Amino acid sequence: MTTSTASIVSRSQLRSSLPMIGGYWAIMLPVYVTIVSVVVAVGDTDVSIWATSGGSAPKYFLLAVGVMLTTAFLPTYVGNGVTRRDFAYGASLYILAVAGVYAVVMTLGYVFEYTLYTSADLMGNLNDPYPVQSAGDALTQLVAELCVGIAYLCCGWVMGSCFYRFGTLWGIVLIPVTILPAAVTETGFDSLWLGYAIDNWLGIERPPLPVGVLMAAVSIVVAWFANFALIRAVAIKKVSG
Amino acid sequence: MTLSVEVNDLTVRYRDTVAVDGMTLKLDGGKIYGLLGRNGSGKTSVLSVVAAFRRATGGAVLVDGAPPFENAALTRQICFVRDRVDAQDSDCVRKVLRIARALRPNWDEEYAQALIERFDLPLKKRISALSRGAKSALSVTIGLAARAPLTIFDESYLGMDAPSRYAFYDEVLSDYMAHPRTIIVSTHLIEEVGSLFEEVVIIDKGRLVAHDETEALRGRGVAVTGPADAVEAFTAGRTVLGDQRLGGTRSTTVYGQLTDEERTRARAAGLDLGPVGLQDLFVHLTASHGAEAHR
Repeated sequence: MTTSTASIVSRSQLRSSLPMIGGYWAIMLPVYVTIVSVVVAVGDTDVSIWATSGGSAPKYFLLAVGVMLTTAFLPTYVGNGVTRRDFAYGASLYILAVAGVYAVVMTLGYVFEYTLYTSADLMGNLNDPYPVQSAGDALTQLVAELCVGIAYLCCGWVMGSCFYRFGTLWGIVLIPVTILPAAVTETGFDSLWLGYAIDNWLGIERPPLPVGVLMAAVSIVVAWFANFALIRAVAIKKVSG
Repeated sequence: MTLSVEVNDLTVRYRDTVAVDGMTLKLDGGKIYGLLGRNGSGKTSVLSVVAAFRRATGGAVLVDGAPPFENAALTRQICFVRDRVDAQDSDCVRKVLRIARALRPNWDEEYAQALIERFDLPLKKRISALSRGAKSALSVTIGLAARAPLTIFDESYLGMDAPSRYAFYDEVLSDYMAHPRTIIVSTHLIEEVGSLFEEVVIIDKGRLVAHDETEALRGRGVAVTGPADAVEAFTAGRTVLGDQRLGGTRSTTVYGQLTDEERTRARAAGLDLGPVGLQDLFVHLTASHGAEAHR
């Protein structure tokens, strides 16, 4: 493997997508800070706003970021002499970085909301126990969010690769299959909403952290190799008009 | 450094369509090649396999003796410039150049800047906002400044206006002289760019029709010019590739070489003999009946 090429790809990707990812969080964070502040000011809620809505939208954003990897960026890099394999390695490093930022922001969001809810004496009204109440909880949440973030990015990547390789019709048909790794990962962490719904439907509690991590790891590895199988010999199409 | 290209019994299929049909071809390193073919003749398919943009359905392609597909050592040495920029419409010119600079091992930034100035490229504009000519100029800027040992221009400059195209031809030639490498130019604009080629490859319907040095190829026919009656009499019964009249003067291009006796007879009749135009030859060789006849 040409480590330097993969590194160049990941750095180039990060630099290219920084405005998009930074812009997303620059909009999202003030919106949720405002919503949570209003809730705290009103003094009446039975849920974590960050968990129920703040934590879901970014996952779908990550899905979209993943979708673009093959459809938008693979031709650019292959067109500049990068092999599909090195692109896959570089894009994987990029995924780790983007998921890492997501995990940190999400965890800090819980810490911030917990502090506000505690100061406003809202914790007693919650239907479910607040997910982050200690440093240990924060670390657990960080691991869970990192796994979920990687899983969503990988699912988006596979989804985009299916569209790129098989065309629009089969791309749409295969969406339920491509989303499976994210569903399994969410189930392992009882994440909102997909994992939470599946766990409730199956009547199971949130699995222990090592089990969740194992489920996520298997899902991510399967998604990564499925994606690699899709792109390793794919013909490069023209992108710009 | 230059790279040779060897195409052995190459086949490329798209479902039921055979784009390249058992083509065999050898291009030595360090020359400028013209790849000529009609629309849909398989030019881009052959070049895509050479540049590792797609896999061959059958046969093999070797660049510098090794298969290029997923060969990192080779792919970084091959620059395949298509008629569209390999970038997002939302990318600005500066970003496209930055990525090329980061990934192309032989990138010459000083030369890139000179080309940007020569082609008047707007660095801050998005690809979607560029004219077709500016997109082509960006493509060829990347292709030239990358200084890849195997550089392929696949009709990449067709969107440029005539002055820009001639500027491109100048750049190709002068940069090739300063930094010899293997350059393949696929084109329709044969007469315009023909003088650039050391060798010409003509393909049709996915098959090789002709591959020869440019001058040898031009020697496959003769342009006979002189008084209309004399030209008509001399060319009677020959395969005519092209015919032009101006007043009482006529210029008829015929396929096939002349014997010494025929040349003497032509000169005695007051006729001038010249090499055939590449375009006339191309049209003849790739006409539906011609391709079969001269294969």
